[in-house]
Amino acid sequence: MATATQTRTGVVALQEERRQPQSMTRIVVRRFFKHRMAVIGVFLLALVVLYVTVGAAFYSEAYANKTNVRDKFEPPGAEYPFGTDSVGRDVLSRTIYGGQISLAIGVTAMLISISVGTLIGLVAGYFGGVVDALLMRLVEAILTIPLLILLLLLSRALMEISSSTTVVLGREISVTVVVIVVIIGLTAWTSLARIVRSMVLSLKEQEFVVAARAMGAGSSRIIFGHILPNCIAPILVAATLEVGVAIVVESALSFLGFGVMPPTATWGNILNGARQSIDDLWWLWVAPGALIMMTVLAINFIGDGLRDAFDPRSIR
Amino acid sequence: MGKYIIQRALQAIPLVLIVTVLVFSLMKISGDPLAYLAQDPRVTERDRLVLRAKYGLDDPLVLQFVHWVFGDEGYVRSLDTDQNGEPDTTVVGERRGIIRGDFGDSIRFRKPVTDVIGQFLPNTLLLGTTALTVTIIMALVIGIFAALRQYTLADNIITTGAFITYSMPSFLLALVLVQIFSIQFRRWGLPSLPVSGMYDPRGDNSVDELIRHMILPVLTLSLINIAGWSRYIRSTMLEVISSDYIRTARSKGISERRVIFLHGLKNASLPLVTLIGLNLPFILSGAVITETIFSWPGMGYMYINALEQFDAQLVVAFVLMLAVAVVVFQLLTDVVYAWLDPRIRYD
Repeated sequence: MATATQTRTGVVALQEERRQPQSMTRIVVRRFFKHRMAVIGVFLLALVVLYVTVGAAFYSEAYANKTNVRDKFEPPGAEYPFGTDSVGRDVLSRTIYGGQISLAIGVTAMLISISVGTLIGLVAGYFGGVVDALLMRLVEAILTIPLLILLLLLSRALMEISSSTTVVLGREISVTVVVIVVIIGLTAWTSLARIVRSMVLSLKEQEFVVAARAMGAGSSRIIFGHILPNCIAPILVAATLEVGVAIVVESALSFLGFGVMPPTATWGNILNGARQSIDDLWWLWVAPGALIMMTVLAINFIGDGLRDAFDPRSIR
Repeated sequence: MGKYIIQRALQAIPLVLIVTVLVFSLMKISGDPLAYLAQDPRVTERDRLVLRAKYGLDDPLVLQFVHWVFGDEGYVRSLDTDQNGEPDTTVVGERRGIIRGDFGDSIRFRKPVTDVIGQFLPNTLLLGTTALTVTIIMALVIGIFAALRQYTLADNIITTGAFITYSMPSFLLALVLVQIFSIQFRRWGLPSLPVSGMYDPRGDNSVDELIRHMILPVLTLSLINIAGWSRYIRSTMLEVISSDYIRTARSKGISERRVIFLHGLKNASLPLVTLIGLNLPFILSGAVITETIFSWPGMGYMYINALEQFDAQLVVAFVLMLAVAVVVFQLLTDVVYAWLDPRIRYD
């Protein structure tokens, strides 16, 4: 920023305001933390993460998965602060371990869908022509079937192989977790692919790309070295929001009985227990429901904050 | 205009084709549609083979696809039912293909899939159109209200409320509504609302009962959409009322009410056409979650049951019809939009 100062001799001197040059990352981080909602989001999300990590120190996973039929449908009390489910499992410890799984599903499904979406968007936008037409028809085809309907169908189609457990990172979890992550990851990438594609279409005509090509850079170098870094803003925003979408979708699938199967807990399949009698089993949905909502709200706030922080129109 | 419509319609054809292939592949991954026969002791091995031949389950995949789409009337398959190496039975195909509306029979309902869908569709349409009407009216009222009071306390409260409702999964919203309006109301001795089905199970099929049963599912379906749509209307309204022709209208001395509702709303509601058009097919899909929670006998409820009971023909027919509806409504939306907004060029 330049400030003009009138000197005594009538000469206008331009003084460059002394300021540290700032990297894009620093600007974005600074603006992000100025965004009130985003900070609230970070705080809420930190609370949820603390709950599922610190909580695990108080209860073992074996305890969370232990059934005790004599204590089934116990309302919240001294022994079970959040009550018990249809086979007498403790809801409090299940929301802790279920939360770990739900968050992990959200993050891994996001990683898959963001990778697929970015890659397809880059390829379609950069190469154009037949490749682009085919990929975009595929995107449209996936979008014509509502996400939940498609996921229910995929989940049902793949569930036959899913009544077993597998060991991931030293923990025994239901295979259904993997199935759910993969199907959410492989269906939720469409809108990002469109966004990235449209960005690539305008970026690839710009001088720096033309210059790179003139200097003999290959396609992959141009795509990953020059174009991708310029698409990072929408990708990061989409990635954030995608975690929330994946968590909600997983819980909806599990709630309907087409998601993660017990004994592995997720917030969604704890809620599923409430379906048996929506009249009086409120403790089966209040805690996991509140946790899902808190997480998703936090993620939406953070996503919004990121969007504003990246928006060049609001550079201050 | 005519050229534009034809062009858009032609673009839709490959899309429908891809979706059909996609749905067919999913049906094939889902496993053997005749697996249920294995549990029936009255079905002999011969019956099983004949049935497999009737549906062409042992044909090459491409042929199966062609037959599924276009029908296999008169197509003869030879069968070797006594395993002696020589064909002894012939089975003549009689399917007419999905292109002529033959989606096969539902295993559970034991009647054509199209009849089953016809039975559930009206209930979904009733619920969906009511919810859509409520959504549009409420979203318009709230959106315009918030736009006219931008950044006031009321606007901020609406914004926060919308954000919270928007972040709420629909099943959670449904459970909260049930807790408040059904369980707590009953406990407090207030008139409570029913939470299951369309009518009173004791046989009271009056319209009053129907309306009472509709309130909670309609509320669930509308609230979340109202949150999103009212934000959308607020932003388009804000854009419109800061434009030149609104200032012109005001400077001519037209009453504020007339400016907002006649000049402003007319233009602000254009994007609403897209919103409604793209959402109409999702009404057909029924709200799977809402209908399941409230046991509302609509398409979503039917779909979940069909999936649970592995009623493959019903599942496939439903998904495919839905996809075609989405494509058709996208087309209609584009055409209506182009017709309403003269700024859009067709070429």
